[in-house]
Amino acid sequence: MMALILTVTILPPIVIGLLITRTFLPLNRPAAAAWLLNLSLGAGLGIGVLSLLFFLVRLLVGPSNLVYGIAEILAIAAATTGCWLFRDKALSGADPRPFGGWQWLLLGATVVCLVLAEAQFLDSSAASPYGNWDAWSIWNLRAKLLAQPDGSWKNAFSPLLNQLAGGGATHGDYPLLLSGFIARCWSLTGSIGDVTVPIAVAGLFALATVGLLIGGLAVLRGWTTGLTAGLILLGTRDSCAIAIGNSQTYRWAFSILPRLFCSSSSTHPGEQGGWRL
Amino acid sequence: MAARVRYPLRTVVALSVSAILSLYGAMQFYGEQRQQNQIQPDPYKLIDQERRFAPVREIVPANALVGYVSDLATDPTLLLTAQYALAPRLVVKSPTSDWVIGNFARPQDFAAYARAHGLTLVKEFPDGVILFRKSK
Repeated sequence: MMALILTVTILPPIVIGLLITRTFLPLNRPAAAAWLLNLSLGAGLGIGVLSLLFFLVRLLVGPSNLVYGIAEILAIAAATTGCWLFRDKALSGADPRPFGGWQWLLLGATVVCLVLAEAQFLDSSAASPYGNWDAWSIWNLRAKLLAQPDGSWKNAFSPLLNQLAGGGATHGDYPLLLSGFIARCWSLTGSIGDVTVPIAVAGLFALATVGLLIGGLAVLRGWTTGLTAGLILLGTRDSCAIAIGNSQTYRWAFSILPRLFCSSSSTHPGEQGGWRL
Repeated sequence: MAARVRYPLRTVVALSVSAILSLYGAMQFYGEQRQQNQIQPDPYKLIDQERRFAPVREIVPANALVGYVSDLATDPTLLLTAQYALAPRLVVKSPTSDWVIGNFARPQDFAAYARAHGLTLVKEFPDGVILFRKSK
């Protein structure tokens, strides 16, 4: 069951997101950094696309896993076709500098920090499986309601939720990205309320944010800058604490980073064209 | 292939210091977090709330609006954790709904409590969880 939950949670958003990023982003260099960037950006993008699709199916057809499953397969097929036919084949960026020397030490230090962060994440998830306040009282509560297999899924938008802890406490105006995606996974696996899904999504977002930072900066400025930034992020106390709490902050950081990269890429001297995003 | 670039010494030193500090920070926080997890696991006691309210979920229909009464001061954490544990049932802060759950810290005569509040006692569960219905 755990393997099914993790497969349904992690694989489809990565696949569809990777196809979309590969369609619209040029062949950046260094190639490994571009893969890391596409994979990380794609994971978040895929979560967004599938969350939106899940909500649209609920809204237009109702809570039907069969219809949603067909819609998701069609979306992946469309992304595959689009990538095959329209993918950007242009090369972008100067010849990469060879990776080597003391950059291996930076990579080693980054991997050690990543392993430590992962160990903290797993240990904390075991100790507090429901995450921090925002995680369970806003995102996962709304996901639990959205995932219902009958008309009660609309309770996710009930104003009654706000009277429990003061006006607006459960923030009905917050975007449905996280709640919608977690609801999708719970609905597909028939495991509403299982903490594995939100923990996996929190881990995926945290990893994707680190990958996005390292990959994006490595494409823009080289591996040294990318790895140093990743190292500093992983070595910062609050960054690990935020990931551990299943908080939305990583999602926010994730959504800001590509915009910074885009603005940087379009003004970077000597760069031929910016990213097409 | 571009030639390998040699960075100035101060750049290498600065990056090395950044790497060492990051490693130190990651290791220190790892130890602190493990300790914190042992001292205070599940700070909002949601594992307990899920267990306490599980028998209520088997009786109260999923689409029900559930009132809430308690002998504790109105605490958003208690209300919201009860809401999380009872979802998709919506919890409201008053005893005016058809179904009403009680979240009590101290034992008392719950049948008498029900009569005094226009309710009927349905069932007493362990750990202070009581299920009432609104009297007809």
